[in-house]
Amino acid sequence: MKRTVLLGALLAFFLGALLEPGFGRWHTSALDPLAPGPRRVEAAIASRRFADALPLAADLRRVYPNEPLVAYWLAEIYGGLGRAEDEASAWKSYRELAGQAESTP
Amino acid sequence: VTRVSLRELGLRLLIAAFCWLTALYAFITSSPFAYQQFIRPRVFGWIGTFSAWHASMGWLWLALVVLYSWPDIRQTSRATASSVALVALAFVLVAWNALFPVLPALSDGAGTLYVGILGLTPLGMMTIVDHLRHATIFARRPHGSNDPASLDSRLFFAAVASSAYFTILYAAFASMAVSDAFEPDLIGIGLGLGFIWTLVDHLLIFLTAFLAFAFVGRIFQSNVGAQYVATAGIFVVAFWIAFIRLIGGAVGLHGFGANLAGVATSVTIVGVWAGWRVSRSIAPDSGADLLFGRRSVVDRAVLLGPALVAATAYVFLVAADRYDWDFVLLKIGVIAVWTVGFGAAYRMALDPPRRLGDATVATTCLIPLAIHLMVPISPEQQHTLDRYRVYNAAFRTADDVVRENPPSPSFDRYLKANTGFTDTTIVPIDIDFVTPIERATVEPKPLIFLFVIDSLRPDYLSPYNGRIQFTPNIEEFAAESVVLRNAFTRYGGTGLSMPAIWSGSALPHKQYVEPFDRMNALDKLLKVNGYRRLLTLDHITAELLGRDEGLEELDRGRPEMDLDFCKTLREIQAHLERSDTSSRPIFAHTRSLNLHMSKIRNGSVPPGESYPGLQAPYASRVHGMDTCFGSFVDRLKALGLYDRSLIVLTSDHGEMLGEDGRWGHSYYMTPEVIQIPLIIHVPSWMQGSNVDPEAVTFSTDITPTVYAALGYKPSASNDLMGSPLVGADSSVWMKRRQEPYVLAASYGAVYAVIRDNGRHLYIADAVNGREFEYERDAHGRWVDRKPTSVTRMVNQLQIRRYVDELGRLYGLNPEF
Repeated sequence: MKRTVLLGALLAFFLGALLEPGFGRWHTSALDPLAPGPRRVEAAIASRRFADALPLAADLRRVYPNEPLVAYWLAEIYGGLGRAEDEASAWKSYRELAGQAESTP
Repeated sequence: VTRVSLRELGLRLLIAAFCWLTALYAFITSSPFAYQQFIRPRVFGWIGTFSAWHASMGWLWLALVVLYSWPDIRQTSRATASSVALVALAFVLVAWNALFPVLPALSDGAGTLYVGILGLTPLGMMTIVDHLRHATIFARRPHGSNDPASLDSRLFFAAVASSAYFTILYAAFASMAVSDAFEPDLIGIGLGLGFIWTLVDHLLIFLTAFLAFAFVGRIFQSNVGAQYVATAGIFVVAFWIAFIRLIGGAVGLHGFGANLAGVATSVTIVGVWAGWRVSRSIAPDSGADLLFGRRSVVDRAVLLGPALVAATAYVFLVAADRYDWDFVLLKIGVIAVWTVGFGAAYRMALDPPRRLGDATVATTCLIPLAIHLMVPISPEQQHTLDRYRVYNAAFRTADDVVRENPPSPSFDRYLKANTGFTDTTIVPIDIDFVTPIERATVEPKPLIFLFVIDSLRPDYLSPYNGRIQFTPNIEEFAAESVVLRNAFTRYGGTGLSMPAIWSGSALPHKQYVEPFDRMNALDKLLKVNGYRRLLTLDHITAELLGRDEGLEELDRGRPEMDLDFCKTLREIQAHLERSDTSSRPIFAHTRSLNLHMSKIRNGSVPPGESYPGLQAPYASRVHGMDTCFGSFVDRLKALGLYDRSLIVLTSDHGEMLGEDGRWGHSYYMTPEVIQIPLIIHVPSWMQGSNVDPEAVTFSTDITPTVYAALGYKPSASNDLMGSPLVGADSSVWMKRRQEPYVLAASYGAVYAVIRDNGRHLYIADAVNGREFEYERDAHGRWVDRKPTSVTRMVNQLQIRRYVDELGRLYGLNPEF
């Protein structure tokens, strides 16, 4: 019985490690650009509805303050809205966050 | 129980082989890309032969089935009813196939998958017959001790021994291969690193097998039959996953039907094997004994096993090197020898002198698992391992099984959902560079020649590579033409590359959106301007333009795979010599297949020719085409037509010629596949146009360039359309150098982004869950780089925008 339990437990570990995404690793709260919220931002930017995109992107910024993609979107949105100062600030933020991300293993 | 002779084994294998080949043919045909690119053009002659003779061969197969079933039909037994049912089923299938031959009528689509599954049903019946014949062995008491600890020990030994054996065997093969190559990363430490990770990967795989088999052995300890069914079930699941990952991914099969096909194939493989094993077993100790065989006496025959496994592994490597598609055969070979080798090790395993302890089991299992999960691999080590997998087939296969998870699983799902549309109806849209299009005012109108050499690489042409000495005529032509030195195909693979050239635009990922007329910007131009259209109707142009009665066919009656540049040029030349081109201009187009991989991979070189450092059969054929092209250009000059001709010499995609063990183009988006030659001779009145030959250009720019050559001012109505390569002002060329561009494979969810004027290349391979990045150095060499989170972010964003734009234009919004 003891051996059966050991084999079963090890088998579960092995299958988890080989089949289950993220098994054994700490999950990070990274932004998934294909989640519904980010998709709405991208759709609004693609159709040049920058005023619609801004509050959505701002919400994402609050949840993912260190995500360079959100800063990238914000820069594009501000550019589309003609808010040059905000655009420059967002690009600066993007460069900083991207630099941090590049240096993180 | 009687011992089954070799004759009976051969009988089973012949019956099974016919069913498996039938199913494989149907499975491959069901894939739109495989149907369009392999089956329809009859890339391999034997495919057509098998299809044509399938109905007749069915009668021979029926005779074999009767022979197999005869003992149970002649003499009443437990298996008589099922044997009669098997023969009846076989007769119905064969008779139906004789009246209505199935294979020649198959085309792509989900329904064809089910035809393949139907073709496997006789093997399911045969498995039932085998097990009914020998059902008594399940009821007998075990021959030896039914000690589960003994089973554990033997399986444990088999797992560890197999891991060590296959690691050493394939490392030896890899060392031999590396010794013939220039691989600075794979000297000493690099090979050692590869060896260690190969061992870790093998241990993970074989110890998983040990744990699974040993666990079911204990769960069903008192019932050998249940042990046997559970053990066979493990194999079915393993082969099913392998089918989906290896064959399904390679030929574009996915979804419910593909999974069903995978399960059916796996069940029949395990069933036929198990049926034969059952017929040979005498009172087994365990379910594993039934599948692998009972413990053998260690004699000369048993010791020969490892040598035979090694020889088989080597044969698979050689066969894969010659005939493979995207490493499918290579990986199938590895899995086959893994299975056979594990079984052989199990049969050789003796009971250990002392009991296998829990601590030994736990430690041996947890060490490789901990290494897999916790030991980081630096970018430099990853680069070394990426090089090592090129030479070590087992590491390539094992690494694909156990490697880390895809970097972007949701992105991969998104790409797959937007790639290879089959059952989705896509309504064509108008693709126009000029609206409304009216007859051009340029007179005389240029003659237009669009020569697409399938698979032609720029680095085999002297205008692109100063080392090449065997294309003097193309070099002379290039000196009088515009040579775009930084050209890329929009699609890696003919299937979508050719329609994109005709339309001058990126297109939805479907073969094909029809009717194509509204999207065919080039043909609209030709018709409005009254061109005679001389065309080679290959399977793609026949599908897209073949219904147009105004076409004049080149290469009529010539099989597609025999399309030859020289013959087609001579035919076009004959048209020119007997036509009055001043009253009606000519457009001629062909896609020549002189360089198709089926002719190159095992091709030869005429005596006296030598191409050191190059793929010689390929280079030799390029040389031959150069000669014909030179003659054609000379004839145009002699006829006084050259100066009024627009001649485009290009290819639909590049090709892998053995780099990293890869051949052909498959769904690769490597630099060798996406770079194309693009040489354009413009009519005399356009010479001197503002051209930036070093700026990035695409195959979708050809059609707008033709518009410009006729005096139009073509403009793109969306970012997916091309733009003219002559007559553009400097700002347009500057924009080309700055913008990122998205390219796609024709045959799978693999996308690429070209940035910084073609200096950076990012590849998202959703088929294999991998990504790649390259940078081109000052000498034009591509150096691979490890993608970072930022490069991944910006490039995937670009791909999403491209895919979403296609979705917006064509009303596509698939769930993923």
